[in-house]
Amino acid sequence: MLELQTQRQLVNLLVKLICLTVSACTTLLLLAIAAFMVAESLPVWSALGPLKIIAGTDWSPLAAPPRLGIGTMILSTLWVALGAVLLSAPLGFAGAIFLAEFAPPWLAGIIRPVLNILTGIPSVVYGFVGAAVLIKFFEVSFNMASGESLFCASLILTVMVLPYIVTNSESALRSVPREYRQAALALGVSKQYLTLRVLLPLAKKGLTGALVLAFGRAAGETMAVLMLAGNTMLLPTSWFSKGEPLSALIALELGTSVVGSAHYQALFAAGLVLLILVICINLFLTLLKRG
Amino acid sequence: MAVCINNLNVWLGSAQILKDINLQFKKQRITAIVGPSGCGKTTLLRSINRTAELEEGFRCSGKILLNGKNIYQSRDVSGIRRKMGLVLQTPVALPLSIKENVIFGARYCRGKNKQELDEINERCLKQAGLWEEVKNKLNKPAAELSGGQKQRLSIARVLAVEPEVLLLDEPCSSLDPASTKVIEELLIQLSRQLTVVLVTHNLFQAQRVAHDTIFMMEGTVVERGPTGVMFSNPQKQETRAFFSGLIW
Repeated sequence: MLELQTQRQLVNLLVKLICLTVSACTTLLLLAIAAFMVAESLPVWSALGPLKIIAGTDWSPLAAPPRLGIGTMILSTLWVALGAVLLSAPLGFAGAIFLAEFAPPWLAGIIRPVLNILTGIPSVVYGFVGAAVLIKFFEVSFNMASGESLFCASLILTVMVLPYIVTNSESALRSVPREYRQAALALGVSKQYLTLRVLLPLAKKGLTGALVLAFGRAAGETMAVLMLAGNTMLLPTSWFSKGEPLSALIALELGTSVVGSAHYQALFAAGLVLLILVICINLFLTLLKRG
Repeated sequence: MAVCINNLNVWLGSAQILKDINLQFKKQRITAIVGPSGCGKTTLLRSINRTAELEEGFRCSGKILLNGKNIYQSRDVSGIRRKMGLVLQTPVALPLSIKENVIFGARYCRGKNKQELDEINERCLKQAGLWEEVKNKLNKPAAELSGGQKQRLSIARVLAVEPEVLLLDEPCSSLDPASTKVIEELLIQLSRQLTVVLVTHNLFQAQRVAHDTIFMMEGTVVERGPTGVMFSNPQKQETRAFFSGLIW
């Protein structure tokens, strides 16, 4: 009897230990990645200074001395991602309102799984479709020499982040307590009036959260953006300029850079900037959720 | 007779919530509905207000007449909802200012005439006995009010769409005794102009304010009559048991 109990205690202890290790590992993993990126990029940070790298707009890593400004890419990333959020926000909110408040159950039952499938499509497929259809469209209808632009990348990103916005906004709307609906509808007001004046203000936090999450996704996306943004090193002056976002820069150049060179380290610096950007967004999201 | 209910049956999905209800609510009187939890009191009120039909699987048969007209044959559902004002159990402050809360429904059905809305706001807050407490902070968010104030705000919001009948679903269940007293006095005042139906768990409250009392159990009306008679001399075994605290 006693033996059985100690055995049980031992098993309990073991399970606890395993759980602790696993959960600690996930946290450590993030720290390890960050530490690795810092360590790899530290030489260029200290050699050139953060300001020169982040605000610099001249990227010639093979020149002597190498010029490693990634400001152009940071601007491209922000432009592409903010553009995508700008385009997808109205569509996504409208879709979420429709799903949460107006869609008949059978229709919502079709739309929701479709949205889930959309999130699972590999980004290279989106990029491929964009390159084959969107870019052709711009080239043919606007008589452009090449159709790639930040706008194209934003458009494809819009499609990619739309499901996230719809799903998250819908759950934000749904989490508004029933009493508010009941109290408002009992006064004989329409659902539109209820949604605009009561539900949207109450779901404000969740809706903002959906946008922030979408921005994070869009900023980190690589493949589709790489195929559509045009990848020139010029500072983008409009939404329709070409540009090379951070993620595309790393993906394109890491393979050809010499390990340990300033070029290699600068790419890690670019990765670190992207990582910090995304972590900041996530922290902001967490703070938002806590109120 | 303001409201007349004939052979009302209500189902939610396959469960029958109300069984063959026959009731009258008289003008300028307070009728209390008492009964154990889950006996269909709330569903009855929401059926009269025509918001019960928003639930999935709602079905009903029978008639609810307002001044002789069957409300379930009316096309103007929002008109019916306005005439049958419903105050919910939980005090709800919409995420708007105090004033916008009061004129929430009125703004929707009456339009945007600012002066008219201001008048409605002041009249209804006074009627609900809240004016003196909030007149200096009408544009503050309503969420800052206390529970009792929020419940009076809910009543003011319903009054603003000029109902003929005021339905209240346990309006004091989350309030302290002082706020309860204020609301009870308010109901007595309002009953001079309106038909008031009050669902309550508090038998003393029914005794204090109601002219008539209805006892419901398991979706049926067991007994009804003038409050004094009901409490002093109930006819049915179930009523006696409930009033003496044997069934809850």
